[in-house]
Amino acid sequence: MKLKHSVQTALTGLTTHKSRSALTILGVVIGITSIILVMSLGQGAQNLILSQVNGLGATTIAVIPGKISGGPSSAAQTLSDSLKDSDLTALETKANVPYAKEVMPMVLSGGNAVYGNQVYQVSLYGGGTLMTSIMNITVGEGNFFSDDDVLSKSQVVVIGYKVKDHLFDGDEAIGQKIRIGNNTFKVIGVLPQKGQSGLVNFDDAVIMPYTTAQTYVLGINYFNRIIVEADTQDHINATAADITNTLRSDHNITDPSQDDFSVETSADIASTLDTVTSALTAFLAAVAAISLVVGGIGIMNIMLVSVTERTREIGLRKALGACDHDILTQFLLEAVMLTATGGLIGILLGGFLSYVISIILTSALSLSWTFIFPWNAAALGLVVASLVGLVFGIYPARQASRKSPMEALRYE
Amino acid sequence: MNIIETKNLWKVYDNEGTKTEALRGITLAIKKGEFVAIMGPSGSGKSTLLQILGLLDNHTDGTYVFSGKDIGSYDQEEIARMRNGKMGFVFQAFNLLPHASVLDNVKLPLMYSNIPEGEWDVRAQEAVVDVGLEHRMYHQATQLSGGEKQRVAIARALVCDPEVIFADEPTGNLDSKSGEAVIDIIQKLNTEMGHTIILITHETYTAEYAQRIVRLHDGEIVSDEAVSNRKTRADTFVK
Repeated sequence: MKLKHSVQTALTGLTTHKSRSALTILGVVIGITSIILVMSLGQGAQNLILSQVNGLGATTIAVIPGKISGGPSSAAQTLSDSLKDSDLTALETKANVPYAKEVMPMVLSGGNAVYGNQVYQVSLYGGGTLMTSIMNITVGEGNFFSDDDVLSKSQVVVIGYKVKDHLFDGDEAIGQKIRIGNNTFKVIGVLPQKGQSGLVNFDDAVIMPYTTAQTYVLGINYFNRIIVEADTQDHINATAADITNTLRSDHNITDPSQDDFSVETSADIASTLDTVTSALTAFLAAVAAISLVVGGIGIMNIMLVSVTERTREIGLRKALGACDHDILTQFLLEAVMLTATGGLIGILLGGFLSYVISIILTSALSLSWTFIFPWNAAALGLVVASLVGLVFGIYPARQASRKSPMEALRYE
Repeated sequence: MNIIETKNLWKVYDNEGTKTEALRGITLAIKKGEFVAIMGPSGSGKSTLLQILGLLDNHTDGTYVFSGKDIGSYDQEEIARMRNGKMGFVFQAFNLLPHASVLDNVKLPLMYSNIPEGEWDVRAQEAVVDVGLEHRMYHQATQLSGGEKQRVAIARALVCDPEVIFADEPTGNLDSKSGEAVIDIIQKLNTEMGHTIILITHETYTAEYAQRIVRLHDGEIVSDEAVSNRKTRADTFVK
């Protein structure tokens, strides 16, 4: 029997029992749908995160205190006081880091902001004017602080949208004074809603000059970050190396394993996040794949029922000249066509759902989410679905092909 | 020339240690172009004999030579090809594909044959015309009466132009009028088209359409004689 006719025969077998066929492939449809969904959303999330990391600027280098450790925000790094004024001065010296365009220290903390009898928990950022460009900050009302404010340790702050909302409840915030710790700070700017920039949400933020934060809030003389902007992307690795050498000589370190700081470019951060999101996506896809196995067992079950039910048909076909191989092909094709159809539906459904989700994420949460159709996963999904049919169809198909024509014809 | 020759054919069913001897040394020769009826009470082994002669089942002992060749030397695939090309089957229960059209049912054996696809439609249509069902060509099998269904089954048995047509109680599920129409067609396949026919029946009335009647009892041939006064459909009308 030619393949073309085997396909026709299998198709007839499937369309005769439409609702059964539909129910049978449900497991495969769900499995493939979830895989596509996970892969599409995973890649979308990855792209979003990477674009935001890259938004930090391809020329941005972060110097982080403390030994290189597992995570980017481990306690050791936040508590370490290894980055001092002398380091800042050394890095600002052209001879040490010739390609550095700008150097900006930062301090990070948390605390309560108070206005009247309103208290709100905020994230505290102490930085320089460079923050506006590096972190993509635009001020909605008022102004950002100036370089003079940084030099003179002015007690001024720029507050996030939610901070204003909670403390001032719709009243004018600019010019008012809020209290953090034992000192008061004048609000000179308010960030617009969705102060989402880079990986940081500035809605809950209070931003002030780092000098102010060091002196009036934290009482420290070290930094939590030093951000260095290289002049061009080509010089980023050279600059990272210069920074490392400068800080080592400044800290009298000869053995690189004793470094009490780490230097990260946005490419480093991107690759770390890339690994994390890839691992997460792979894990979720593996969970989704379990439903494929369950779906496959369902297929096997139904095919076995179908083989028993169609015993007479099998007997007849054999009496009319079908050999074992023809029957095997017919039932195997039925199984594979079922699962491949399920796979196709799953791919379309998964693609559609992730498209809908991407629209929701873009419009409702105003994320710069891009819909990605995971072509690789789709192709793989189709292959896997067909394989499920092949693997779980072979046993019922063999059962069918081994029936003796005489016994099959006698079957009631 | 003998198309079918068996020597001392045995069939023993072994059902969980209980042995049942269905055929006990059948020696039979059937010439090409003959119309043989096999008769016997139920349990006499007539269906078993037909299944073995039709290569639907294996014999336990003895030899079976079909068309000059011992079928013991054939493998499964060759046997399937023989069933397809050299044998046609008509069953008591019709065994049509219920949701397929008359034409598609008749085409079914062609799909397993080496006959080029271009000839399928013509051959199937000719076979349907041969059994007088041209007006039912595209009807579904389920829409047909019992007699019509059996005629479709005959057309299906004919379509590959087999050497032997095996009919297992073809009139068993039919009323006498449609039964006569069916047996008349089977006779014409023999007299007008020259097919060898092996018919199983328990009605003497039906068996007398054949040239020769072989009677079985308890798996053995008890008589084998020519029909002296062979029936045709014309006789029935006279009576």
